[in-house]
Amino acid sequence: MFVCERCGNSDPRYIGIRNGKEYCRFCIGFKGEMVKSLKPKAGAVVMDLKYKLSKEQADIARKVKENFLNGIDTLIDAVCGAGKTELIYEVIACALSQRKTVAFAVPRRDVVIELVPRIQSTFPHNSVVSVYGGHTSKLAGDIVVLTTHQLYRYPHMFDLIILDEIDAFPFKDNELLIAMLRNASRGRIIMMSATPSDEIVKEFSGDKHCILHLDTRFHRKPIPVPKVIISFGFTKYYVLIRNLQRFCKENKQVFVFCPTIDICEKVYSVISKIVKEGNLVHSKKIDRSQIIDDFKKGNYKYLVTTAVLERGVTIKDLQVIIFGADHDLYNEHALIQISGRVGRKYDAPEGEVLFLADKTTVAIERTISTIKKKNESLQNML
Amino acid sequence: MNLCKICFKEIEEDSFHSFLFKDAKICHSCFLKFKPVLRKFKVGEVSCYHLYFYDEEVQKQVYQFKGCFDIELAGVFLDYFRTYLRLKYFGYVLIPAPSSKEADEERGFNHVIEMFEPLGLKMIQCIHKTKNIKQSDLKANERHKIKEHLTIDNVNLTKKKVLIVDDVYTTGSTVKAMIDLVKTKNPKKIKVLVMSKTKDL
Repeated sequence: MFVCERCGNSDPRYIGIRNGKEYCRFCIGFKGEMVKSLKPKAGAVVMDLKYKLSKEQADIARKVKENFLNGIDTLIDAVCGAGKTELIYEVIACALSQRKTVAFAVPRRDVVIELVPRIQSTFPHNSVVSVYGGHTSKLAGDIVVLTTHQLYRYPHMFDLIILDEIDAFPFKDNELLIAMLRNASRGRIIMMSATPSDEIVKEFSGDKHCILHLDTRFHRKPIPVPKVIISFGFTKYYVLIRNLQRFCKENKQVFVFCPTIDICEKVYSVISKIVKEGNLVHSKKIDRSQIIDDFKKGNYKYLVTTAVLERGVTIKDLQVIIFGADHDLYNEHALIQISGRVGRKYDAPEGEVLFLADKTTVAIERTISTIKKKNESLQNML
Repeated sequence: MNLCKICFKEIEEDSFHSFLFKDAKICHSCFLKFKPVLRKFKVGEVSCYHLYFYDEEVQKQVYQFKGCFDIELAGVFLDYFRTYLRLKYFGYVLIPAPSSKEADEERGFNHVIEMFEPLGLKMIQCIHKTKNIKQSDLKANERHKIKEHLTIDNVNLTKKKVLIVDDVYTTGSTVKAMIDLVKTKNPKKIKVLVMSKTKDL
């Protein structure tokens, strides 16, 4: 029977025949240089953390490390802005000191670009390599930070794979990417998410698996609860503009999320005439990393955006407005992720999240109740 | 049981489409994603037809077929037009656009021949490329040079109806060069059929 070397597929549906030879059609779109072998550097690992972990974070980080040493796969269920990335530095250091290969996989390339400098500054003496579509010149390093699409290059090579944002598109429900993840691993997998799906939770409830919860942000302030503003039709624009102007006066930067690219462009064309110094970011925009950089420097007062900035973005003192939060595309997970963009820094732990909608939906109600529940458990702890 | 070659879902049997199009290779919804047009355009005095515009979905599948060597996709593009084209071009002789030997060897098959095989017409591979250059690597104003690198075998095409076929039509340099070459053999009729055409800017 034919089994694909790259993705482990043996389903006869996905097998084609070319000149009498069988080939896999499942992963055929992934064409590129494969890595022959990864050799981690020997030597002491220096971990340079510029801040101290909170007590809860330190606890979880230690448990993750123990699980890794005992051969247990871990799922970390931590709220947005809890400092998930910091939790796994210890286990990375541990794996590196044992000369094991480490990968940090994320579904989105924007998040990869953002993560690399953070990890590099924590491990200054190790080589951190980023691999994503269009940036594949260097493939081997001590820590490989890559998009999940690039995992096919490393069959059975990683002793430790850390997978962040598991419920994000395109990794979610993508059989091919999940198969490639399994194929790239020869050791342990650590998954992280703020909003794990029921299937993942079920998978990690079994033997040799472990779920760790972290319900507080590292600064121990409650997560901002979204405010729902009901308004119809064009009055939404009025509410949006008024709130934008208010935030601009207070010198706060704002993300305006829209469900689709079309709505995004429409909204921007309207509000840019009244509120200046903004810009537009969506997945079709070529220079989007440049715009996001400019935004971080403070050149823009607001950004109108789609789901591209839904995850993995940390900006100081950010406010969020969702335009049309009752849209079908916004499920509970997406709304929680977007609300989690607010108040992620020590010196700015608060902020406002506004949902503009025609009506409240089940997703909106569940988002608010989930956030309130997490905040209550924080109150009990303090 | 018949599976769609693109979305891998089962093609419904006893449905309206399966009655009209027997042994279809792809399901009807995948076919509609190609946005079929079947439109006529002119190259000089020769009338040409194209089935699709060369936009995102077609581009993706052509890349998988040509670039990733997925031969199973060969019959996909002409599938739903097969019967119509067979009647329309009854009695014609196919001349496929040339591709260099090296590229064919690496791929393991000739993509144009595989693509137009389902028409069941007689095929004469009489035009060859002497140099391995890719049209897609060149700029629009350099592409007309392809003329110098095409040769035609000594074949008898007099009193024959000739159909020139290609997969993608961009500037038309290749097709124009092929028409000029075929004209020297005095055929009865020349027509052109391309799978997809880039939209005019």
